This record gives sequence, C-alpha cells and structure tokens, in this order.
Amino acid sequence: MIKRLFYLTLVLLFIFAAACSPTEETPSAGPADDPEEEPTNGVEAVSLRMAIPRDEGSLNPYTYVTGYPGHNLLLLIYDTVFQLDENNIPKPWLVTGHEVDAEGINWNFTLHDGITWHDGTPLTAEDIKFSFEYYGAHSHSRWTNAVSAIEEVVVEDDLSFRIILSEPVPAFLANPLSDVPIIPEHIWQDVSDPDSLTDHTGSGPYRITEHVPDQTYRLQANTDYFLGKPAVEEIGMIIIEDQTATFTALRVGDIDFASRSLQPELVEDFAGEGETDIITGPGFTSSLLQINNEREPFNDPLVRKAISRAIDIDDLVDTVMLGYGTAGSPGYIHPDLPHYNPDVEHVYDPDEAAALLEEAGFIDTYGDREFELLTRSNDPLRVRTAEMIAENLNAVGINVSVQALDSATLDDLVWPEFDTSQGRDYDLSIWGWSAPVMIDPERLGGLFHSDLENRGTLNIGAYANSEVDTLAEELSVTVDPGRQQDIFNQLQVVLADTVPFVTLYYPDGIYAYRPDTYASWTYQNGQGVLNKLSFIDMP
Amino acid sequence: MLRFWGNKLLQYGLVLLITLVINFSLPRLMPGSPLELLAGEDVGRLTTEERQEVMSRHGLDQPVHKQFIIYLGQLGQGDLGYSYRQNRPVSTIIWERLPWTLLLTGSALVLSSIIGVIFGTLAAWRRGRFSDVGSMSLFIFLDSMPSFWLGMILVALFGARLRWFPVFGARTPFADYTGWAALVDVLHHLALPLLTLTLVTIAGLFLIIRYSTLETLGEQYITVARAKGLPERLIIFRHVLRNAMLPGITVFMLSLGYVVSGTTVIETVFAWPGLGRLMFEAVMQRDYPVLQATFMIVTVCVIIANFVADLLYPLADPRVRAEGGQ
Repeated sequence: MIKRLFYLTLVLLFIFAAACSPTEETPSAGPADDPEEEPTNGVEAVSLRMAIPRDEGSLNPYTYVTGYPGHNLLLLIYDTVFQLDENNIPKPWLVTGHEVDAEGINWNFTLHDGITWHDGTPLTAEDIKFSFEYYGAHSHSRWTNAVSAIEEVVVEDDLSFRIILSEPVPAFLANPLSDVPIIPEHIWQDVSDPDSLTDHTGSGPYRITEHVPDQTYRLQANTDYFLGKPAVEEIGMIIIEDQTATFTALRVGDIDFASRSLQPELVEDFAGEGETDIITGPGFTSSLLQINNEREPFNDPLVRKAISRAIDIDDLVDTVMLGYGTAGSPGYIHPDLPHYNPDVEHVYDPDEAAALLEEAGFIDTYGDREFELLTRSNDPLRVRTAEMIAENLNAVGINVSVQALDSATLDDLVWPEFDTSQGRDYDLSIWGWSAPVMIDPERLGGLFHSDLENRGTLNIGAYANSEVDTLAEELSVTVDPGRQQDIFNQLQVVLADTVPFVTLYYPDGIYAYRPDTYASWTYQNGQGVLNKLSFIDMP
Repeated sequence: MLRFWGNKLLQYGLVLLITLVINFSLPRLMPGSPLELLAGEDVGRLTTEERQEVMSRHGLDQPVHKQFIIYLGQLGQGDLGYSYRQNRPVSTIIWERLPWTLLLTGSALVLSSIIGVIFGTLAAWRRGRFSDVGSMSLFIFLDSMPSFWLGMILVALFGARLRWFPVFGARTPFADYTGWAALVDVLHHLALPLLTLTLVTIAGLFLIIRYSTLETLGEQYITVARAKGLPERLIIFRHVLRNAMLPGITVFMLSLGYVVSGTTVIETVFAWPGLGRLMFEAVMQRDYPVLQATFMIVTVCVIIANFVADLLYPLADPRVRAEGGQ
C-alpha cells in the first residue's frame, strides 16, 4: 500500500512536471527577431539579457547603489565629458578635444554638435556647468569630492565652455571628467532632494524604459546617439542575487551575460565549450592583508616587513585563484598601470622573516600570543586566502587564527563608521579595494596619509610615515607627468620598505557570456567588459 | 469566559510589545552601521559634516529611546518607514514579496501536511513492516538533508541538465505573459522550489502523526472496534485518525505562523522573490526599517496562528471544550 502510494506520488510529480514544461513556445525576450529586417549601423544583437546582483535604484547619479556594476551601468545611461579608453587613457567623448594653460588651471572645451538628451532636448554647455555646480551643492560620496577643485565653469556659447580650477588636479581628465556623469539642467534644476528622484533621463547610448524594482530593468538603445546607434538594441537586466543561480541561468541560456566575475574553479565549465565562453583580463581590484599599524607589535615596521617576507603570494595566486590573478606588488600599484614601479618586488623568504622577527624581539615578547586574522565569511576565496596566510605566518613563529565574520561586522571592526579617525579594533584582516582606489592618484593619497581626519580617509591601518605624507601631498598638486612618475616611483619604494599592508594579488576579471547572442565585448584594462566601449566604438 | 479571553488578549499584547522592543533594539545592537547603504559606495570619502547630515536625515543621530518612540508613533499610523537599501516604502516592498512567499511556503505546508498525515497513519498501521521502516527512513533521510543541497541537486538535474524547469525566479523575465500563460509560467517556476521545500518538511508531521496513531491504536476503544468486526479501513480513518490528528493540528498551526517568514535558503537557491530572502538581505546590510517590519509581521503572524490554534482546539477536541466549560 505504502509503496504504491509512493510510486503514485512519483508518477503524479512527473505528470505535473510534464504538464508544466513549455512545449509549444519558448518565450522570446526581445522585440520580434524578424529575418527580413536589415541590420543597420552595425547593430549586432537585437536583445541581450544580463544578470546583475542587486537592484540599483532608479539608476541616476544619486540613486545607483554599487561601484560595480552600478557605476558602469550608470554610464550607459549618462555621458561623461571624457571617456577612458581600453587602456584607461582619457579620450574626448562629449567634447571635440581640450586646451589647457601651462599651469593646469584653465581648461577649454567644445561640445560635439547635435547631442541631445533622451527626451530630445539639446545638451548644451549650460548642462555641463549645471552638473558640476549641482554635484558641488548636493553632497554625494563620489561626485562632490571629485568636483571640489572646480572653481568656476564659464559658458562661452551653446557648445563651448571653460573650466577654471582653484588648484591643479593631476588627473583632471580622468577624474572628474571621465567619471562624473552630466545631468540635464531642465530636469534637475528644481530638484532639492536628489536621493529620491526617480527620473533617469540621460544622454547616453541607452535609456531605461522600464524598471520593476528588485526584478528587472529594460534598457533601449538610444537610436539618436551622437556617435551612432549602439550595437545591441535592447538590454534586459535581471536581478539575481545568488551566484550559483546566476551562472546556472547563464548555462541554460536564460541570460547571455553576467556582470559578476566567474569563480576561477568554474572557468573550465564555461570556457570554449561552444554555447558559452569567457573573456578574461587583469583586474585593478586588490586583495590585501591589512595590518593594524597602530597596535603592538605591528606598529614596528620590522614586524610588518617580516609578515610580508613570510607570505608566499605566488602560491596564493596558483592555489586560490588557480592562476587567474596577478601577484601583488609591494608598492600596491598594479603592474599594468603606467605609474607602476618595476623595481619593487615581493620577496618571499621565511628565513629572513624569522630573522627580522628575532631582530624586532618579537619571539620573546609575543611568541605565545595568538593574533586574529579576520576575513569575510561570504567570500570562499578570501577565507581560503586567510587560511593559507595563517599557515605561512605560523611557520615563522607568528601565531595566527582565522576568524570569518559577516561583512558588516568586519567593517565595523576594521573601519568603524567608515571613518578612519574613529579608531580600529583588529590585528590583521583580509581586505580589498575597488578599481578606482587603484587608478585615481587622489585616492592613493587617501590610502597612506597619516592625517586621518582630512586626507587619509582610506588609511584603515593608521599607517604613518612622514616621507609618504610629503610625497602624497606633492602628488595631489603635481601636473607635470615626469615629476608625477618620479613621485610615484619613490612612493612605491618607501611603501615596499615600510609595509603598510601586504598586497597579496589582483584577481583577474573573468566574464562569462553567450557568444551567439553577443560577442563584441571590449575589455577595459583592469575594469572588465561592462562599459560603453562594449556597445559604442571610440570616435 | 470573558475574563479568559481578556487575559489571553492581554498576554498576546504583552508578547507583541516585548517583541517590538527586541525587534527595534537587536539590529541596533549588532555591530555594523547602515551608513554605507545610506551614503553610497564612496562612503569613506565623506567629511564629518556630510556623515552627520546623512545620519540625521534618517533620524539615526537621535538617542535610541527617542528613535523608538518615533518608530512607535509611525507604527501607530500604519507607517513602516522607508527601506535604506531600496529607498522605497517598506510596506510596498513587503506587499510585493508576500504573495510569492505565501504561494511557496503555503502550498508546501499543505502538500507536506497531506503527505505527512497519510503516510504517517499508514506507517503506524503497518508498524514494523517494510513500508513503515522504508517510509520512515526515507522521510528522515530527506529531513536531514540540507535543503540548499537538495535544491541545488534538483536545479542541476531538472533545470540545467534536462531543462524541464526554469532555474531561477518566479516568472520568466520580460515575457509579459497574461492570463493562463502567466499562471502556467508561475506554476512552472514554482515546481522545483515547491518540491524541495515539501520533501524536506514532510518528516515533521509524518513522525508526529505516526507516533500519535501508534498510541491511539493501543487504546481500548480500538480493541473494541476491532472486536465489533469493523473493517480496518474504517477503524483507521474514522476512529484512529480523528484522535491521532490532534497533536498534528498544533504543529500545523505553529508552522502556519511561520509561513510568512518564508524560507531563506530555498528562496536563495531558486532566486525566489520572497520575504525570507528580503529579511536575510536586510540583516546582512543593516537595513533597519525592513528588519523591524518583517520581524514584526512574522511575530504578529505567529501570535495570530497561536490564537487561532487556541480557538480551534476546543472544536477539534471535545475534552478541551469540557474542561474550558468547567
């Protein structure tokens, strides 16, 4: 009886399954793929479905949420004055070029003719002036800082404008000009509370036609875009929080691209199999062993140097990242960046580490103490990294135990209130910074300057070195490229010697996609494929 | 009688107040701050003034007891506040999620209860035989299996390999189905998560029904019924099951209360847009208003389910009715 019932249940389940399978039609996501339609202006795909991990609000400059992919998506909707090319060199985008005086104070630009907002209103120099002033007046963590050196924007005529700076900004064309989106004055002029604005009228290659909060966005190509029609007609973005679900959806073809990077151990399943493929490249995000420079015994540079000597970073890249990463430079700067100093190199030497510890008197005082190495519990790669580092450090006589915590708790210990001047409560922690903290020289100063309240806003280990302070200050006002490089080189030498933290590796970007739907991705060095250049050619 | 219900109401009111206090203070006692959610990605570059401005805009600079009084006042007006993460009213978000959770956990509860009761009774009836031992081992095996693991296996097999079922979500995105097509689409998406959740929850009711049926089978009136020569099926379904059901009802009502809280793990594996997942994200990101509201709703539902169980029990069990009357 019971057996029969069991089989009956099974049979019923199968019938249910069969009844529910779509037999007659497969849902087509985009507008009809009419074979008669002629491809126009290099249109390569009708419709692309992309998974993003979370809702990004109404996706305007004040409501987008994440640095990645939020900022990248934002820049599909909005334009910037300049645009970073594949190698992160700023190139004119909305403008035809630029002229600058010798002091780097007065910058002249002319807009391309015929640029319009998504609602058809022309984009003029007034919008540029308005945008920079708006960001100055309405605080936003990313834009307000970036425009702080802009003294005045003078509108010469509809297309020409001049930006006057209060002091020279070393990478002005990169940030703010290639980073800060331009917003339409006619929509934003009366907006006093931008955080709750739901409008997303931009001038970019895509406009948002539908947003179902927490579920989907529908992006339609801006057919009037001043640089030509974008390569994909419609982008459907689907919010899938779970990583496994995301890549299963990609495997079965429910989505064509995932914004999140693939885990190294899954590469084999997706690469070159036919239906799916991957595109990889260097990443400018960093994975670090963060050290609390304030706490004994880590306030001793000898101890920090010993820690760095004890860690086998090549092994980390091979074992944890399966080779999909670049070994960290002790000067923090990624080897693919122009300001990287090739003279600094990570040294793995456990014997020297032990000798340094001996010299610092570490073993006598701290040989029996156990130190905690914190890491985020939701990131298996970081947990594995922490375990291997603990082994490395235990081998030279530093007792370390790994503690996995949820991100908010970890943040609270390492970076309470996200304010470095509020102190910290940890020994060691696995940490990481996003790509902008690698590329932007201004943020570099933030990582190392000892004036925590005003300059060292990212200096979460409270590293203090007067030589570095001086160099960082000089860097923030130096516009001469040669002098800039000198400072960068010196900076990296001092950092390698004094070890504010250990740069472990820079994980590669690994992006899985379905080449049948769309394959013309442009890998922007260090930053991945989700950018304007994947859909619009550089002019 | 009136005093009895008055006391009950007072009890439930007190429980509700205590949970409100706990719901409010727990998130604030957790380490971590919602500042990152409120200020955006570059939170480290905020100046002290900007930081304070952000906190005061959301009333987070006030002393905690003042925040609580403000919260109670808003709650009194039916205002659940704004989500930090989504910048939308919490009530809207919950209304969007609630039907999906009710659909999944509700139907799983009904299904697993029916299966649990039927198989539990039958197993007790066939005590010690293969069908009893077999079904008990099967359900205990399923019960001890991690639900995410079972879910992932089912997705991998029926979703990714055989492609019989969709692998994520509750509806096909951008398909814009209406009418029957929409219903079929939802059922199609529901199948795997429902199967997973049903399979891992059968054991609870199965074991209780099996145990209480065994007890009832030993009662003397069953011996009497057998002696009268009643057919076995009649004995089981008319005389045994009605009595053996009683503890089952309690368990069912308790589970009913938790239906709204959804099931975080299964909602995660299947990317199901339910409340469980919402709660989990709110905890991870310290989205206080969403935390408070969802926890409160779960509490209220559990209290209501208890209340209803109190009401129903005398109807199902005449003995309680008689005692209540004394």
